[in-house]
Amino acid sequence: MADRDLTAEVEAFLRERAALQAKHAHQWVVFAARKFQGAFDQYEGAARFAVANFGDAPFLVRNVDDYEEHVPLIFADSD
Amino acid sequence: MSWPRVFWPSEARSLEERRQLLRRDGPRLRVIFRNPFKSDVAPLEIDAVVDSGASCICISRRIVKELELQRTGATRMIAVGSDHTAGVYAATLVVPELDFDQFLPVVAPDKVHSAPAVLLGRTFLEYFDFSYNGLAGTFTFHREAGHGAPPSENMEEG
Repeated sequence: MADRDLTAEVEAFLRERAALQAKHAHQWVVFAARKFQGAFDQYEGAARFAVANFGDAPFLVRNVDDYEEHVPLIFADSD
Repeated sequence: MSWPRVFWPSEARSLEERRQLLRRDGPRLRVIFRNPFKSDVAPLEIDAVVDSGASCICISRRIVKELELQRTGATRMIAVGSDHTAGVYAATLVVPELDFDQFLPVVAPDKVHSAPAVLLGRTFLEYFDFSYNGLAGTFTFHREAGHGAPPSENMEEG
């Protein structure tokens, strides 16, 4: 399965993040077609909603509190 | 099986060997990943390292491909001395020894092609009370909160 480009959805999320954090604190939100599509308490509900409704198009499932992930050296490039 | 659950390197024959193997290999659990959207894709069983230094459940890209996982997002993965773009994928993680079976987001770097590998970071550890005992060469999981809780006066009221 080829990965889709989520740039537009990520940009839409980042534009609205502040408002989403106020209205949907700690929730998982779904963006598709560059628009907010819904908020869910659990990742599973958000992911299933996104796949069922936007599975053929780019979509983003993101927790409004999430920033970048931090991992140890073990996952540094091995090539 | 009751809680807490205590683990150690099964091949160790002595206390010193147990401590050495745990230090060398880290706390490892046998886990199973499934694609929650494709029941016809065979599950993958693999050893995973429990890692409180990782913020998420990290998997290699090879696992994403093998399980044909559905991408649900994008993030950045910051390691010591490196910074990668990464995909977020929907997966079901099963840890039989912990009675754990959850639909969770997992993260894989976009352009790092390592051997199949799994780190069970803090999005996994938030379900447990986990402790590492380097003196005894063991690590322990408990499912009830409280063992590592701060004094009540320091806790925020919810």
